[in-house]
Amino acid sequence: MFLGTGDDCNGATSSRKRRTNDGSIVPITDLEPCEKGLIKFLRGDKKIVQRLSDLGLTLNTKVELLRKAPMNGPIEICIRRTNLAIAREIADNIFVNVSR
Amino acid sequence: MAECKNCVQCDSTTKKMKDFKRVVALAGNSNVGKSAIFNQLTGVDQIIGNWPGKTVERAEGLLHYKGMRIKIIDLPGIYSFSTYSMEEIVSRDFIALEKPDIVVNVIDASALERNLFFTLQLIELGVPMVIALNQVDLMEKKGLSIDAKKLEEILGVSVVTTVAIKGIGIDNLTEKIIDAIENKKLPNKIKYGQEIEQRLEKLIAALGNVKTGYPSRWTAIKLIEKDAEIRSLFEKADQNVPILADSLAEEIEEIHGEPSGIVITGERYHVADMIAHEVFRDVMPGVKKRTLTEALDNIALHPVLGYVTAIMVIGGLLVWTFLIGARVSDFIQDFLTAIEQYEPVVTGPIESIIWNGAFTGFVAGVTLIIPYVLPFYLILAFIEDSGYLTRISFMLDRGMHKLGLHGKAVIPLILGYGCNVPAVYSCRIMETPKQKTLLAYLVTLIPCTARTIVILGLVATFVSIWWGMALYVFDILLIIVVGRIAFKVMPGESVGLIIEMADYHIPSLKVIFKQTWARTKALIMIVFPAYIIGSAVVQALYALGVLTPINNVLMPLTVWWLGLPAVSGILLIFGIVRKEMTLLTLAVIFHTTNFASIMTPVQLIVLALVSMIYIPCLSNILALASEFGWRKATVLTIAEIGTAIMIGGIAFRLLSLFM
Repeated sequence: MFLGTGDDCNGATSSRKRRTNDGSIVPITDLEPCEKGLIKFLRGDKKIVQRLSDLGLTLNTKVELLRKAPMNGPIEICIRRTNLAIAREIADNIFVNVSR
Repeated sequence: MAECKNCVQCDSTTKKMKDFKRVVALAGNSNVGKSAIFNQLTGVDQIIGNWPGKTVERAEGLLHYKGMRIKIIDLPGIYSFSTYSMEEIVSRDFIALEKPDIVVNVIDASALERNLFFTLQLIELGVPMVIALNQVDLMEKKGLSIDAKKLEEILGVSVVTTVAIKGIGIDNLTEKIIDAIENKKLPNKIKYGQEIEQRLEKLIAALGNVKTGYPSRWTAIKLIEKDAEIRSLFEKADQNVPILADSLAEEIEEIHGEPSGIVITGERYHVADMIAHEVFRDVMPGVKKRTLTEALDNIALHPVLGYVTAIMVIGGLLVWTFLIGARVSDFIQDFLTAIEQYEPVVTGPIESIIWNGAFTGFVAGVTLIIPYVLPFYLILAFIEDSGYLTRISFMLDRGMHKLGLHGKAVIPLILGYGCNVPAVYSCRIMETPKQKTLLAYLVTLIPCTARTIVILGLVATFVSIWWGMALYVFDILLIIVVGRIAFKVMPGESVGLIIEMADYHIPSLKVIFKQTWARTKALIMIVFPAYIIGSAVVQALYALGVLTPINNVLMPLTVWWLGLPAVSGILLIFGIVRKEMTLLTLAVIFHTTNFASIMTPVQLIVLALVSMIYIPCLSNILALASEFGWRKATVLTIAEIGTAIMIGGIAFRLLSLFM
């Protein structure tokens, strides 16, 4: 159901060696580009959390990190067929369960 | 489609219907093509662009169809009816309280789940609706296909597939809109989880006879979500309602372990996912090719190439305006002087003075607007439509943080190079009042085309192109310094970037030309008459000797502090109306457009510098006042005049040392 568009990562993920094992929950900013995860919880300002949920970042939704801007800039993710850019300090509060 | 081509019986019907206006609202996520559909339905040229938040003000237009007059309203794009932004509150109040006859929910077919999430909220509001499943061509390119009939069955309302930008499906949509207006068919009720529905029922019963104007189911949901606006409606009317709502919300929070607002959002997405799962067919994940967007983003968002691209695009926009503009301007000027000599005259009969002034104004209009404004708007339209603006936002987000803003702020700043007025309005894409005001302040310092013309006309032409560029660079530095200071001084909160990165479109030439024309037309309507009348008036006033006393009063400032000719006083006053008037007035008063013969290079630079900073033009002050109130607009105006005079005086003294 989730096709994941806008990425350039076909097959790249599986070859990567991961530091974290499956099952651990990490901030989405800890993922490497092309890694996928399931949204586990969001933290932070109530309004921002509601906004992220409205944009589709709901519990157990599949998400893929597409890229990180340099110098702690925003990250780009793909969720529910749409690509979102999210500031690093907001994204640090998005926690995911790493999946393959 | 929208015209009454074959409508012979129009007369009698129209008369009957004349005052019987139907209202149709277009609602949906940002960037799904609402404005494109609006343009197709009404024939109005609402500016469309490929970046979220472009429609800041709701646009209205008329659709004439078979003798019916239907008012179409294009609402700003939103993702939800929460209270995250003003647009969300404005849109929901419009739909819930002003009750349009029907709502056309425009959906981006390739992002079905998130769009259905919004559709579900429209269903909660209980409005009759029609769904336009837009951009189906892009969806098909992605290897997706949607069963529109099935979607129709599930939601219980008409679903029309469209490609609005090409006009595909619009006839069908119009038919369905008329049907819906006549039948007022409501969508099917959509139920959420048991634990929520039970509590909603209890709450709806308790709402009793408190009249809010909002539908009861929607009100109950909002109360469970702890929506502050809706809660406040009950605080006076019936204290028990919010108390009950809170206890029910707490029960839900206990079950799910999450805030109630998030739970409801999750429920909606759950339903949206299920519907999407039902209606998607022929999904072929295997055929996925590298799309254009992916390929371009590998460059546009590359850690190094991305910045190179951003600089090239913004720089290219300006250099193009400078270089192409100057050539074309020279050409037109030569052409016009060849057909008529227009040396301004200040003696002789008053008619010939006025006529001469008017002709000077016309020449200025033709040599300034066409060569500089047109190419700028053309390229701007191309950049806007392509979807590249959001990429610049992504790349420059970090830098904007230094000014207390974030990546989205880049968009109004770039638009400001065209005209500050729409750019000030587009500051609404920022989330907090502090960020909006701060950004609007900075936008007014961006050299718009009018100021570019002054810089070109005074400095680039008669001093050197490099001094013209230097003024531009200085302006950017000034914006950074002012931004830093304002960020520290102003109270209020700042939030970070969250923006959708829509796919690139290859902009259609038709759209680009239409958009450029819409913007240029607006300018010509206002600027041409202003030039012509303005310069006729200036010339007449000057000939009558009215201007000299004003210049004399301002002499300490203009002559002593800024080192300019006494006549600058009047130039700067006329420049308030429009910045180009400084140039025009100068030409009229000195009977020449060769400004090097009347001013020294230092004077030219100082005059351009002061004109660039000293005040946004009159329409800009009005735009600021309507967005932020007169107090802030006045403060800003005074602050900018002060800054300009201070910097101008310092520049005069420094430049005089070596020029």
